[in-house]
Amino acid sequence: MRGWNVEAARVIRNRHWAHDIWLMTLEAPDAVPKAQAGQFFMVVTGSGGPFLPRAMAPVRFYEQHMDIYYRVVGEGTQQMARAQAGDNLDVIGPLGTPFAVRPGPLALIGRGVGMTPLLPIAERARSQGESVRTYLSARSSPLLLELAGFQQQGAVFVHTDDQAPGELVTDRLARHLAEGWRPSVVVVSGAHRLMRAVRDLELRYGFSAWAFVEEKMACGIGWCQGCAIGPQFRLICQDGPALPLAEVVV
Amino acid sequence: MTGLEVTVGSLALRNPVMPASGTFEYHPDSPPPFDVNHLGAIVPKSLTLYPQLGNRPSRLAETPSGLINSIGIPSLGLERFLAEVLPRYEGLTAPVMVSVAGYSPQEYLTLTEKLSAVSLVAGIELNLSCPNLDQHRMPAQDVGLLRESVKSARSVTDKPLWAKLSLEVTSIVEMAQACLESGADAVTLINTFRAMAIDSQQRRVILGNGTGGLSGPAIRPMALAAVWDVSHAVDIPVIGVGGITTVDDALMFLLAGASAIQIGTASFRQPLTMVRVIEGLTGHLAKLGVASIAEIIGAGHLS
Ligand SMILES: Cc1cc2nc3c(=O)[nH]c(=O)nc-3n(C[C@H](O)[C@H](O)[C@H](O)COP(=O)(O)O)c2cc1C
Ligand code: FES
Repeated sequence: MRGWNVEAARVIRNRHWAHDIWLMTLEAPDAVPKAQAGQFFMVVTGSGGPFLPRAMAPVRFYEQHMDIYYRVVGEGTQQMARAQAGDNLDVIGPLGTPFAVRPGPLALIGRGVGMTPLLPIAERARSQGESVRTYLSARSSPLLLELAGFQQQGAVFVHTDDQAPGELVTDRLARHLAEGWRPSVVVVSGAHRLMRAVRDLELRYGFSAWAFVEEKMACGIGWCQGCAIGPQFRLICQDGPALPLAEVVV
Repeated sequence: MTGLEVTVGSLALRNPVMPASGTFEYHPDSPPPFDVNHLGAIVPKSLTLYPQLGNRPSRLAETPSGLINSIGIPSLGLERFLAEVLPRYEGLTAPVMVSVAGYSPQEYLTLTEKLSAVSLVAGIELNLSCPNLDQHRMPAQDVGLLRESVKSARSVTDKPLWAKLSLEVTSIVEMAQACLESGADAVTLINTFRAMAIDSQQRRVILGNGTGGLSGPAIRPMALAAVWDVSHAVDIPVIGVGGITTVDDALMFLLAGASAIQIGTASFRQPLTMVRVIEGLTGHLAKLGVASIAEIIGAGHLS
């Protein structure tokens, strides 16, 4: 049974990370211990903030805490950036279907803040004894978030736009596949371009590919049916946030 | 007795607070973190006669004080609803008011007839903001179609029948009067307002459907005026809906004459809104030393 709740989470730390990326640590003693890899939270910004809560995929759950990287793009995330240690923010969660790690080598491909839901999956896979390769992409190296964390779980291959403009991190995956490496599952998150590239590789090599998708969410809990995606209108907040890549890239 | 008991026509509710259709789902496998039996009633998402997928994404756009949705009506259709969805409500003590949307008066009739035959169904709310297949108009905006649709449904049920209206009409009083004359037991005021949003940077219309319906605090004052107008002019119970977020909002609607209220969009930002409003109403009665919420209904007056 999946159980979510509404909890007044306490801001433990909230700091600027690099460029437009911030890192917030929230304490939510009821919700965090229930959260599993692949799940997300809705963060309700305070009064004066935007109307709807914001969906956030924590990069790390530990004891009663969760770390959330977020990109400041609009009103909601600007409001989050103003939060101070000691402030309370309502969080709704944990939400979504946990990502079930299946046997076999795992490849993770992430870009920017979109890479954050991949770290709990990498950790989960390693704890199940699976090998993990991670392919991370960002505008510049400070935005390769949690590089050390990913490196603890296995080999990491990185790409930054400023070092190698015009290339995609999936080019490396393509090379590894051409050399004979065979992941059984590939998870991609954070950029549509990378999803399309992985979809091409999926059709060619036949691994099982999943994508973390983003759509505007109103509720995150299956009440509004606003987060439908793909030809079957699956609900991202219920069936996802990780969905079969074939349903996301058409 | 909690003092919150109300009646809407012949239907007794343990309190006047219920979800607005399309904004709350109940599934026993993933229940919300509150007892749904604390709600005055349960109103599921509108049901259509035949299965349909709903509108294409994107389905949501945010505004400063409201939400524009173009969900449409994703629906399993009557048959699967009866077989798969209704049994989920078995054992609940909160009455289930099933919302139905028809593309013709005949469809309203069929839906109402089949659903009323199920003992679990306490009553029917007619979502009349559904385009008629022949006339391409909504019953909520065409008094002739409205009468025909409500009468058709009335002809096949003795259970409570609520007619949900739109405020995008010349006279909401006239529409409510037509519902009364056609046999409705109550009117639910109001549905969303047609609205749209465009991403000016990308020059892209945000909703996949082009336009959608505006809900939330933005429409609250209009909904309140509709409740006031109808409850002062037409002898029919009113269920108020539109932007209700706090106890104070709920009180405004009750004072304006609503016998009960529905909460929709506010539940997205705070899923506990309905139960908090119920608790708040209890507290309000205690503070005023008022024995029954019935004393508040319609008690708002001009200065
Ligand atoms: C996401 C969403 C879906 C809705 N679906 C329905 C529906 O299926 N049937 C219906 O009669 N009204 C539907 N409505 C309208 C609401 O029931 C309600 O009338 C309206 O949103 C105003 O109330 P609110 O401001 O509290 O949300 C929907 C509203 C929203 C926001
Ligand atoms: S965001 Fe409301 S159903 Fe998914």
